[in-house]
Amino acid sequence: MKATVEKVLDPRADAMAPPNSMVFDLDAAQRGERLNRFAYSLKAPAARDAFRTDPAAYMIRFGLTAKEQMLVADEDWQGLLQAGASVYLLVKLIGTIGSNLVKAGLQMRGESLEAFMASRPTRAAPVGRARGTP
Amino acid sequence: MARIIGGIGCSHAPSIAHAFDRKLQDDPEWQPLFEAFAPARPWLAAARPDVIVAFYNDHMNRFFLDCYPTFAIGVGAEHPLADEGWGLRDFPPFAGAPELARHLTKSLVAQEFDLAICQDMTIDHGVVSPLPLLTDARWPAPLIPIPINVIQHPLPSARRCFNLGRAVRNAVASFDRDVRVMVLGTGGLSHQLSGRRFGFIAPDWDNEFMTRLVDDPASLTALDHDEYMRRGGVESVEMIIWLAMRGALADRVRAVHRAYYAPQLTGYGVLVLEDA
Repeated sequence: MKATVEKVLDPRADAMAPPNSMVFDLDAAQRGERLNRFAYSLKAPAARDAFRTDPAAYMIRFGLTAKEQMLVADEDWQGLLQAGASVYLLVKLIGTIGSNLVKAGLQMRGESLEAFMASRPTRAAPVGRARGTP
Repeated sequence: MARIIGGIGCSHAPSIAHAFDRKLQDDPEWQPLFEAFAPARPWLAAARPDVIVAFYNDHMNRFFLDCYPTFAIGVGAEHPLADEGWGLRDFPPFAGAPELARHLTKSLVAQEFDLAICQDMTIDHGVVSPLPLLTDARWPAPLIPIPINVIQHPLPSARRCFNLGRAVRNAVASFDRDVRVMVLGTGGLSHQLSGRRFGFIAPDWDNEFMTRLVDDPASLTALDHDEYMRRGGVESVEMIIWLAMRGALADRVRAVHRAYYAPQLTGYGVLVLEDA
């Protein structure tokens, strides 16, 4: 067995610090409990209809605070993550309101679609071909 | 005796399902994705698995935070698909493999892997996103799902995932029936969905990961979650699931097929392995 690989980190020292990165852990889960229960409920088609019909009433039913309701109404994805929402639950909200992940991501990056697409390092990279035994 | 006939590691991003459902096989943006999976199709057909054991993660479609297991196993006779919030895809449920699943569960617990035992398991894009690109069959074999927590930290270590795969290999070898088992490990590769670093991808790291997974998995089991997230993005920590698949194979393996494509948000990898 070879030795442990050397540490090669993202060159930015703050790459893992909020707001660059938000790691969903137990602290976040407890901080975001109301938001996450709310977002999880949107798995059911009837719940999605109910939310779209009257978002405020639906959020009150799930006990969201005024600040949490505002984050949802504003589609403030960064704020929602910092308030303890899981990104995997937010995608259910993103789907329910007819938005998409790229739009949400551009907002978090504070960037236009054009600038974002230009930043993709391997857009033209070819697919690796099948390889036999090395 | 039952045996492991090979393993597939691949990404499971919802964008793969999106491209499939919209029939984008000939779209210039997506054609390379389908091409990346294509050589795995004849391999899977020829491998004729009787059962597929899938290591993946549930994106809060079967489990919620009220009770989110670190490891779980689906032992039921049928596994329906999940509505993840944007409607059900037009696929039938999976058949389960209760007899082998019971045996695996007993053996895994005896090997000190104490999984949550689930009579009811709902399958999400962790399995359903890539599988239609690997086969036209719906589905090619009964499924034993083994979801792994990679979404709520603390997560099991990369080494723990590898050892879970090794324990599955032991369990399969002790099943006294002639059953051909394929292992699937899904997730990653590099991507980040949260924060200003949204969209981070790292093709060099993804390719290094696939190389090391074949030749030197121990060097990958030594990495902690923080390093996976720094190298590949927060949500790329799913890559430790591939180590469970690798652990279920022999010490020495050969790559039958390997491909990679990173057009936008996710590094898509496909790796087909057989015992050497």
